[in-house]
Amino acid sequence: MNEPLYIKIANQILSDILVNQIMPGQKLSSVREYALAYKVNAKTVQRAFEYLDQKQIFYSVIGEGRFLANSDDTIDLIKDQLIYEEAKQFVRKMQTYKLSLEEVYQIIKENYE
Amino acid sequence: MNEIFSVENLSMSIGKKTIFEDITFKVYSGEIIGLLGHNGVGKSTMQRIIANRENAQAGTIVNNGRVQTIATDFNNIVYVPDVIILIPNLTVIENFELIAKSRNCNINFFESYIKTIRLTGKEQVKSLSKGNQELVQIIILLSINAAIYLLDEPFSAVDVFRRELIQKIIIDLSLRNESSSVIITSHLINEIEPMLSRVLYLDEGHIVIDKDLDQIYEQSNNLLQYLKDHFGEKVGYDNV
Repeated sequence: MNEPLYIKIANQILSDILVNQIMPGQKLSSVREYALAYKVNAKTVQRAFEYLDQKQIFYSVIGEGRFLANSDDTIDLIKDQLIYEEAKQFVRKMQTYKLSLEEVYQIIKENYE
Repeated sequence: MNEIFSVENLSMSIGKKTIFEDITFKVYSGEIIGLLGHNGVGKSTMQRIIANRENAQAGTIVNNGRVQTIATDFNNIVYVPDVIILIPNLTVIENFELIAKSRNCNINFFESYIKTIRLTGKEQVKSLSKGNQELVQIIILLSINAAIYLLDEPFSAVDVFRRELIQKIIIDLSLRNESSSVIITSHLINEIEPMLSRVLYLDEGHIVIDKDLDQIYEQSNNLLQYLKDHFGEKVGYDNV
């Protein structure tokens, strides 16, 4: 909730890659196509990709577009990124409730079991 | 990014009340700008001045390198008001054709979105619901090929599904014609934020914020937060 729009879009792109089962090496939709699908400014999609480009999930070919990196752990990287983001938000929220790490851990444990 | 037009030293007052005081800004190709501010701050007036529907007392609009003076200078501007200006007794297609007589229109854009909203185009405008009339008006006017598109409160009378479609149409428009720019007024900040590349915020006759969304995200997580950080509760948007 409390994160810049381009990060939300970045996570949406990753989540759609998992849902649509895009395979390593496969071409992604263009910035234009994502902008239309998500109804967001193309610049924001561009910014989301710039953010994701640091994470070595994609590679770009000039004139051809962006592809999902051809590596065995690409999908794991995506999952890590999404889970990390979710965890970060959860922890931040718990911090606003002034919970200690111990208490947060306890809640996770109780819910996990 | 090329400069499309600029507003220079614009001032306007009605009686003793100052509406604008020495407002200057430039608009570049590819931008989608949110013109924001309290109700009554003059957002719509600003759009009408740019579209030549109203005159300011001082200042100039430089359009495509020329100072706008006569009506033909405004041929690259499309203004979408927040009231229906379609002719009620004509059909959707007849309304489109009427406008296409004097303006250069993209018929594919018109036809594909009329199809999207499941109309044939043979319906009389007056037989459509208020929401569909607004949607049809937006589709027809945005099918005109132009350099500057001004939309006044495009979401005011529509439900959430139509709102999403309008968002898509505006993004599509801006991608279709990369050398154009779009300026939208709205009081629904959360609804328009995703479409925007830049924000102009009007307050007490001045533009107090002129920033790209990129710059806003350096400081705040979203536009509303940014406005609250700068104006506190004075932002006073009730619809977010």
